Amino acid sequence: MSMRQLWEGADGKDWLKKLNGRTKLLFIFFFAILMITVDNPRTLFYLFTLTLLLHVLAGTSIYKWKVLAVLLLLGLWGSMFSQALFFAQTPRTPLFTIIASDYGFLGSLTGGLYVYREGIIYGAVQGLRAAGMLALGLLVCWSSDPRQLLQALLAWRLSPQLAFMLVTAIRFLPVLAAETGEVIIALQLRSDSKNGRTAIVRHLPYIIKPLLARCLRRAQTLALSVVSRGFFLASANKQKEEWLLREQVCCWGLFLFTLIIVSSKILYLLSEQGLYFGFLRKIYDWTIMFL
Amino acid sequence: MLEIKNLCYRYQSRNTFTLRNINLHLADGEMLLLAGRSGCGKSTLIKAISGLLGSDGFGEIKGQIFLNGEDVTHWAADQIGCLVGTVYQSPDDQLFAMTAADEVGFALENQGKAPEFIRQQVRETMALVGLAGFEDYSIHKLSGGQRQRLALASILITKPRLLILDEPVSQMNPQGVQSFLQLLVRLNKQEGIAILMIEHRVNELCKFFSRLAVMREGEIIYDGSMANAWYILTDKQDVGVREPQSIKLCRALALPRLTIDSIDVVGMIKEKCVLLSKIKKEHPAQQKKAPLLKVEHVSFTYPTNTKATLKDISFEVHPGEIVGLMGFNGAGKSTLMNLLGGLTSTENGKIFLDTLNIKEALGKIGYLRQEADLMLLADTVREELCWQNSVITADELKLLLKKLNLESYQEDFPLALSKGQRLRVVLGAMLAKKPALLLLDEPTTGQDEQSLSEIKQLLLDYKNAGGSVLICTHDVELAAEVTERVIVLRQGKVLIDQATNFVLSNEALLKAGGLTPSPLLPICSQLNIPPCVTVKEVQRYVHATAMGGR
Repeated sequence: MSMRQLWEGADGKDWLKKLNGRTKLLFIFFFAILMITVDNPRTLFYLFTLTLLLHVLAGTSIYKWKVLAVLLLLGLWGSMFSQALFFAQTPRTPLFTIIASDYGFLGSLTGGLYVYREGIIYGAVQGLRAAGMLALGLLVCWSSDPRQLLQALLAWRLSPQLAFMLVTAIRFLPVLAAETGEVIIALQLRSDSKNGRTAIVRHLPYIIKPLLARCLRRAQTLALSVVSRGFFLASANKQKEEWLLREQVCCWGLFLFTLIIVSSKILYLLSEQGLYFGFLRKIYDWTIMFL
Repeated sequence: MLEIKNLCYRYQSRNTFTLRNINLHLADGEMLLLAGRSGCGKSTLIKAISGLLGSDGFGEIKGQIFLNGEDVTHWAADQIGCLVGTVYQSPDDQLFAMTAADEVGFALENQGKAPEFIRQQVRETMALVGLAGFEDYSIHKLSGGQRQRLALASILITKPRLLILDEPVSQMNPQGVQSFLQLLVRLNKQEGIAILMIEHRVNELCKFFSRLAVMREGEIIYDGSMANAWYILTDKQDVGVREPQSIKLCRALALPRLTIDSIDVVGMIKEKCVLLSKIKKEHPAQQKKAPLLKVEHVSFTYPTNTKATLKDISFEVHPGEIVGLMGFNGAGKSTLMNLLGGLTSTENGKIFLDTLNIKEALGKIGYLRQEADLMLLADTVREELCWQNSVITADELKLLLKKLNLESYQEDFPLALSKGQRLRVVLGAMLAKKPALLLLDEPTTGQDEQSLSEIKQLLLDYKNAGGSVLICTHDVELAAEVTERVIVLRQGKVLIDQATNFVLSNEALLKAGGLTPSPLLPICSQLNIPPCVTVKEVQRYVHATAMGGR
């Protein structure tokens, strides 16, 4: 599978591809609110697992699973590791010491370097939030035609120009991915050393300019192309894609669920500030336990 | 259909007018080829016709544009889009949807047509451009030529009466060009669609168009029949139009008429010139030096393929030699170039550069890939030539800038230069590193005649200084003029590795390698002289004794 195929939105099983763009966007939106609201590592883990389950149900290809795994593991590991080392809040419990505070110059310079238990948990929470959204975002990206998302945004009366700009980013993902590889190859070829011919990381600082220049040109041509095909003029007359009732019901269900979760969390936070109501005690307990 | 009267346009950021006093008339069902150097205003003219300039209110527009008798000078692009369809150079940049059918149906969706009607129209339009059965294909799975046809279908579905094409074949191989042009001619004849096409490769397209317009510095300097164009352009060799070789021959022999008709050319030569059946060899065969590049029994299979892309390839390139690498798309040319450039590793076989394994000698190889723009990364031309370069001195840099004809642009931003200039900057950056071997992958794609001449001269200078070049190209004329030897690949194997004249004059070989024969070959055949592939070669057998009466 090429870099271009990796990012194109033609993957996934039919049930997912046929979902209305509005359903997909609403699902991402409510899921994002849930991920922000929930602080409990276990619940976050369940939510994250749900996104992976959706990938299984969508029939994500093995190659894309590998890419997803690398991105998720790097994100989770990076978040947990950095927070474990640099967690600044209290209380914090050192699990083990990397550099003791009395270890010569390095010790006096750093004041000691420890791995904190609370840091690992905090890092895991942040990492799971990011990982869950990344997994869900990629699922939508890999299973959606840009036109589908464009129609969804237009159905919500977003300005056609703005909707087009938002969706163009997705349209260009496959091309951009392929072109990034091309630019790196080009930079390798411009290099005068044997190492430079095979290196990737050392060329990364230089990829922005050629890539940006190409993107601007491409975006201009694409805009001209869609304009001349009557995209902006006739957007109001467009046949709106049918939004099935069962999808609407699902979205309403998810909305109500999100509303309940957010309300519970707000009530709990208010109780912590002194606005406590006895009859809501079960909700407070439930929030502490799961959220 | 289209009438342009005294059109002038000035971009807001410029002091001078980019379009100056343009007058153009295109009748219903007419085909017009518009040519001119990069930056002469062709694309601006297309934008003006498509409604992208008159409605934005930023620049200054004078004059009028009429479509079907209506003044559309200040119409919005989407209104004009109902009458005029525009296809751009790169299909990748203009396709929006993910599947072919969605792409073709996009314009009708915007018009609010019923889904069943759209499906039917999509089927019909895709069949019209030869893409029936590809409806559910991802656009990325189509070949370059198929994507360009798809771009055309996405426009044709709105049934425009005027089709504007901005260099749509500049990235295609000769077969792709012929096939695409045949499709356009069919559309023109069957559907009566007027066609306005921009392209430098007039030499390849002249047989499809009866009318040519040429632009220079924002003005139309010629608008008339293709047959008469060559006379008018005689003293205007700086307009970037690539003439057919037969016209160049007529010019070189000072024949009374400039024509692409080989029978007419032969008649004039027989009447006006002296034919020599034998000639002295001008250059005695030079003793060959030890090879610089040695490729021995190289095979290569991509990890995802079961079939080998390269099979037992062996050849040599000597110092001071320019060798052409030619063949069908998919013959393995780019794979071979990537192996030589060190981007992939050989599976079987060995590649040596100056006795060193190729992997140890990568610093001595310059490799210019087809998308030269991607190699530009600095803020100025000067910086670009010196980037990661420890061998070039200030004097050498000055000389190189002069050779590249970029002295006055040395402080300019490279990506803002014209297409030809950008290519010369990248080529200059390669030459600045003084490589022993230069690998060029389709370096002349989309270049006008002047750019092409400048690039040819650079290569010949480099060769005369002892450099070696392996150039991958579909351009038979270019290969004939600069290479000494041609290697033709077919299905991953070397079909032939012989002197350029031998390969390019053998029509069976050319056909087998997917190459277009030079128009000089039938002329030589009818004159009973040995086959020649360049005008200079023909001139060795034909002397212009009588000056023509042009």
